[in-house]
Amino acid sequence: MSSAHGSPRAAARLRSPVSRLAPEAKVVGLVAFLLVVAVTPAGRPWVLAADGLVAVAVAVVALVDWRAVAGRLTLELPLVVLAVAYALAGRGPSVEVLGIALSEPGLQAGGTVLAKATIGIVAVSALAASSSVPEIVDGLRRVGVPPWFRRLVALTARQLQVLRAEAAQLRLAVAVRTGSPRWTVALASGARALGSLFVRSTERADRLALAAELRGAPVGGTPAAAASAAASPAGPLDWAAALAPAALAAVALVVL
Amino acid sequence: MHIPDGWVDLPTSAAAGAVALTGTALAARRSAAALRDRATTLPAVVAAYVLVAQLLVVPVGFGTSAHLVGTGLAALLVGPATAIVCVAVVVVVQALVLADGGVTALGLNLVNDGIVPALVAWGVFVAARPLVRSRRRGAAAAGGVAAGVASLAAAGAATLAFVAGGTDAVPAHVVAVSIGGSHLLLAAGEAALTAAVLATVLRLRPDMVRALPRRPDPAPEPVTVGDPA
Repeated sequence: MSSAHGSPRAAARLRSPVSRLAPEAKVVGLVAFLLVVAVTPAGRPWVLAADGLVAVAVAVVALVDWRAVAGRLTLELPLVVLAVAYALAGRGPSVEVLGIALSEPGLQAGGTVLAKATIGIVAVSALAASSSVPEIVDGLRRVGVPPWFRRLVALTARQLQVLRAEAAQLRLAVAVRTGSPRWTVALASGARALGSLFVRSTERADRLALAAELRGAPVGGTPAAAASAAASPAGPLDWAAALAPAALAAVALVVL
Repeated sequence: MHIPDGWVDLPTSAAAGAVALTGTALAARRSAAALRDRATTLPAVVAAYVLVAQLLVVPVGFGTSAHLVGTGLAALLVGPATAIVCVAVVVVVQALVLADGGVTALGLNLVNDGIVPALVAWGVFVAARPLVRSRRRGAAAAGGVAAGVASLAAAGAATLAFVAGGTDAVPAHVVAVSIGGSHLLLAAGEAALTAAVLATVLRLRPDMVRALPRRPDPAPEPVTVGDPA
């Protein structure tokens, strides 16, 4: 259990050239890339297309699981609705598309938001596919995140595994007892399972805190320490490779 | 549903980031003072709990679904300060690991999903507390209402952010109506689910709901075994 700290799938994760980069360089590189994408103004579709290409290329090198990316992209559905609303209700001048009058600036704005969100999802997927949670937590150190917050993120990742397993058990137990195909009943039993999950996990947190106090150890000192010991410091090559996407995006912004 | 990259301009993102940083730092200080005797595992447990709670999905129709956001619930369970710290962790994990929500919009998401709904839910519940008669059903219902109002307040904050720094290609009232309209549904779902979860916690361990004032400890009831007569 203690050897698993935050990443049971570490062994299953594919080794890619990107996973060999130092995590702090990767996190900084991701933030820099997304900043450049975010400052791209609306109405420059070619710049965003180039950024998208860069993101996809990095994701390919990072051996991203594209099915997982597709799953994340469904989170964008409300944004598609928003973009359609922009196009229908935006200011003039309007353009005719398939016989419907659409607002040109609205179409541009909606498309830009959609494109930036998609690029963000692909880029973050590349980071997530090539780094374990402890590595990402370690990377946050370089971005200036204070230690207590990093420790909290690491502990949360650990607790998330425990709670997920427990939630699955509880949901199964409640479903077996109330078993009904109707979603209202399923939802009510899901809510009940969540309620008892809170009680159980808080009781366990109290036990953990008490046990640690009895031992005289500060609670949660280990995961962050393990995380920062996990990686070697970033060399110039790491930084060059990690910042390359941001540099390419900046070039695209200036040239295209 | 989190705010993605590029929804508002960079100055607005930066301003929201500053608000989020200050708010989280203040909340962390308050929460640390409140949790001094319970060490630091509770916020991690609550953050993980909120992430798991968000997996409970309600079908809304049209092939889309809504899920519990959980900030209001967390605020009622552990208090607004700890809840804000927990949601900060949740938002960071979602942006960096799950690719949900923009990295440059982190501050905005923290304000919208954390600071605003946590404070509003707590405020509404505290205001409604004198009206609550029964500690079980009444308190759960009031908690549901508080979470629903908090969800609407978050929608209002998102709209304000858009008016401040979104594209000017679309009239602001269109955005307000589209965000507000969809959030009416979401708020109703949030209210129902929060009330249901709270009802269970109140039945099992009412002392774990921080939003309720501690009752003076009643004398332990005598345990009767068998027939007392």
